[in-house]
Amino acid sequence: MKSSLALPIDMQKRPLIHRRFWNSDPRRRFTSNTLAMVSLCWLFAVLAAVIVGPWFSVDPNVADVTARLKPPGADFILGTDQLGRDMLARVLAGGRVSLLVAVMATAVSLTIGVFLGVVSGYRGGFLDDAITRVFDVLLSFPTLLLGIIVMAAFGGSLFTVIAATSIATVPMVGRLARAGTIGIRPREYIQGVIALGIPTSRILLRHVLPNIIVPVLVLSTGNMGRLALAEAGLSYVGAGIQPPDASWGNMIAEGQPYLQYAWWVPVIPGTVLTLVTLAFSFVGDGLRDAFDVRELVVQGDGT
Amino acid sequence: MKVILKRIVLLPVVLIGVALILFAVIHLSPTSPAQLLIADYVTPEVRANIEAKLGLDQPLPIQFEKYVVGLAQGDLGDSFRYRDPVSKLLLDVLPSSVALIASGLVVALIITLPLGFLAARFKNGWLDTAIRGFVVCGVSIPSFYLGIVLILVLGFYLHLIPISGRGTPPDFWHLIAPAIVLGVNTAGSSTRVLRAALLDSLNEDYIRAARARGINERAILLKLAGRNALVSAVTVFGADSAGMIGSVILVETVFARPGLGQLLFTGLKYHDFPLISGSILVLLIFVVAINTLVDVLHLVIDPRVRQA
Amino acid sequence: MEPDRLAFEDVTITYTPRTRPVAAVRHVTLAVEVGRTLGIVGESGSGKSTIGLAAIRLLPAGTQVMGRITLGDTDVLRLPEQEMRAIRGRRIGMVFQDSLAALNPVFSIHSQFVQTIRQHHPGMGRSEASRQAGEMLEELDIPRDRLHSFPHELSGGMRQRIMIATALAPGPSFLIADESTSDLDTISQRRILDLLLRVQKSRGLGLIVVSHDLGVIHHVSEQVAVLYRGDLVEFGPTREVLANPRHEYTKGLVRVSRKQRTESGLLYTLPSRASADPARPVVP
Repeated sequence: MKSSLALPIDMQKRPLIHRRFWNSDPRRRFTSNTLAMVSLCWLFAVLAAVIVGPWFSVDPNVADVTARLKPPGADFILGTDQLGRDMLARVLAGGRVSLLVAVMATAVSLTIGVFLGVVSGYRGGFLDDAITRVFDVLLSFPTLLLGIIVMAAFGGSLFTVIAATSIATVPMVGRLARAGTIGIRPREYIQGVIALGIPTSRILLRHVLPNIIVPVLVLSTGNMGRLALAEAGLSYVGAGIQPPDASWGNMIAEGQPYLQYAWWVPVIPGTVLTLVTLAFSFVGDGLRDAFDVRELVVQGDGT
Repeated sequence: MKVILKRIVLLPVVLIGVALILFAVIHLSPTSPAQLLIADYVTPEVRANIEAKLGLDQPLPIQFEKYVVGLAQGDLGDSFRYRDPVSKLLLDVLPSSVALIASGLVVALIITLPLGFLAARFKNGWLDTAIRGFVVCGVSIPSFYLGIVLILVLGFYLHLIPISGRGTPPDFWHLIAPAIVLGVNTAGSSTRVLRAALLDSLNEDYIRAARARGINERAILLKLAGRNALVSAVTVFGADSAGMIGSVILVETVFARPGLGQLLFTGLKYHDFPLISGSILVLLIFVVAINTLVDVLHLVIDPRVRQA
Repeated sequence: MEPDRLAFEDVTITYTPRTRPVAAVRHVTLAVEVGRTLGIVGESGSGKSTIGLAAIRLLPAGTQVMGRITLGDTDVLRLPEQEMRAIRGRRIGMVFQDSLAALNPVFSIHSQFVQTIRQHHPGMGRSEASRQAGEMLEELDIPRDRLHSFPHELSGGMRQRIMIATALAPGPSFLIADESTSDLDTISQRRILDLLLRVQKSRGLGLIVVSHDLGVIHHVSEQVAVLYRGDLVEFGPTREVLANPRHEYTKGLVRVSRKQRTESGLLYTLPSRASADPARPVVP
């Protein structure tokens, strides 16, 4: 084999990103995973439905006392709830909230978590110790409890739900980014660009980030289901999206007293939520297998 | 040993720290508890009256001082809603929550141990596939949804379990469904971890060396790899069990079962700050206790940590 | 009757990775008798460790072994797994390179001994097994109190001795030492080798020493087999082979180990893998 000069990644000519991705092994492994592909299609279908659906359905918050607790049928595809509101419209509106929280919290926690993780892993020293310690403490507390504390302080709204779920996710992302950074920092190609005198911010952005980001993205995708679940949990106990605005969590909570007479009111949003979180799990597992990423063992530490 | 001692000494410090953070977060937030407590449309006089009654009209430092002094004496304040001392409310429901958490842990263990070993033993076989399916469902199905489905099917249709609430202790029948929901959720992730840890240690050199000495496969899986896997998985089990404390809130709410979670739920519903902070504090004590227990366990089973 | 000969007849071992089968060892024929010593030397990737693992059938799943490996009169490759287990440890012992990885970190030395001994003597009580373990340690000059240590508490040399002791505990007639001294410094290496030779003599073992280090082989083995990229290129009495190497690789190996210099005064080195012929022959 002819030895090639090891150029820093961004100096080599590279083909178009999408072409490179399409021809990669992970892509092949993922698309041959039926369960993951079916789940992905389902998630896109749900996404399309909750984005487009509300324009075509009735107002989810309009109550009609003459049509309370109607079972699913011709008039109302998914029936009506205890106030006579259209369940289909409410499920779509609730889905908007759940997916919005999942996407936004992932984006926020990726940005903050990767930043903190990379900086602390690269810098080391006191800053690293401090950040790691805070991560440990946050990680050792259950997400729901952490969320409730935030919600108790700032009240329930879409914004605070996103903030609360992000706080619980940042340390997971940060830990992974930090581990990756510590892993590659001693490598020659990083030491090489340091020796060239390239500014730190550029090193982190152009040389460290591309090399650690894949596992972070893969695990964050798998984690989106857990975020949707956290939102629903918070809303279920009344610490999330506040009625009358719909969320799958508060729909289940409000419908539960009518379980015996109108099972569909709590069961339908619950089923949709379960199918969405399951799909996220399958897609996450599929990505993990495809990219051969190992899950970092999250260690609890209670102090 | 030192680690454990340090942790036990630190415990009260951590708890007081958490209490202070709770106080700060809630009192420095833009919405005051009083504002959350009462509807928007009451007259300012009524509002001032309520605030005075709750001691919310005093300056923050004074409130803070009262809170800390109370805390040091084990006084968590009076619930806005029940007009009873929070500590009494918490103590009343404590046994119920402890019973639920303990039985949830037992269910989780009963599920995790056999499934984890079977999945590793028959790696990639149909049994393994089925178990992995269970694992994904276990971690993805919301506990409150599973609870509702159990109530609907086992309670309303088959009349196998009581619908909700709590009987006179020992309340075995009322405990079954909540314990299953709690256990299944936790077992999902811990089964996955146990399986992965077993497969990891089966790949290690020391397992190959044991095979080279003629040790039989049964002993290799159950005794050798099993011990190693438990050592590496025990911290994750700890994190899972700590996570279970979060689910307790949901499960108690679903089954309308008196307990810490339900108190917290009520507190959230009525913006009852003393009740919220009191129940969060006790739940956090559970989390810290479980984490400490896991440390002790780790110390007992891992000789490398024992020496340090 | 205890088998007195471990023989490899025309053995070819093929790994099957994702794409295409690769031969790790081709048409190798060797043998070692009880009471004799054999060295297998070769660079990493030459297939020398593969041969040792093949004898106790512990190659990774998906590896194909052709030919015959016989222990006395029995063909090891055709034994059912159950009977194979009675041979591992009991007839053929194995000592691995990395003693820290090969000793189970969460069990004490004592319990690793007791497990092994009782596996091969199902009726034996714990105390008897424990007593035998103690005797085993003393035979290898290890203080008896080490029995209750854990692997991480011991030095590298001590761990390697314990590895040898655990391998000898079931009383095998053959011992395969796979790079057992490569991780040690020169002095400990020498001590371990002398120890191996001593137990080989006292127990009348058939000893196979696998190493990349010609010095080690020269020190312990009466016969030597030189493997080069899966082929057996030389096999015979150690003294003769080293005095009169026929294959280019063996010549190079000898020059390097004697630190001979070229005409220009440079030390000889072996040709690197990269500059040799690039594609490994593939078994169809």
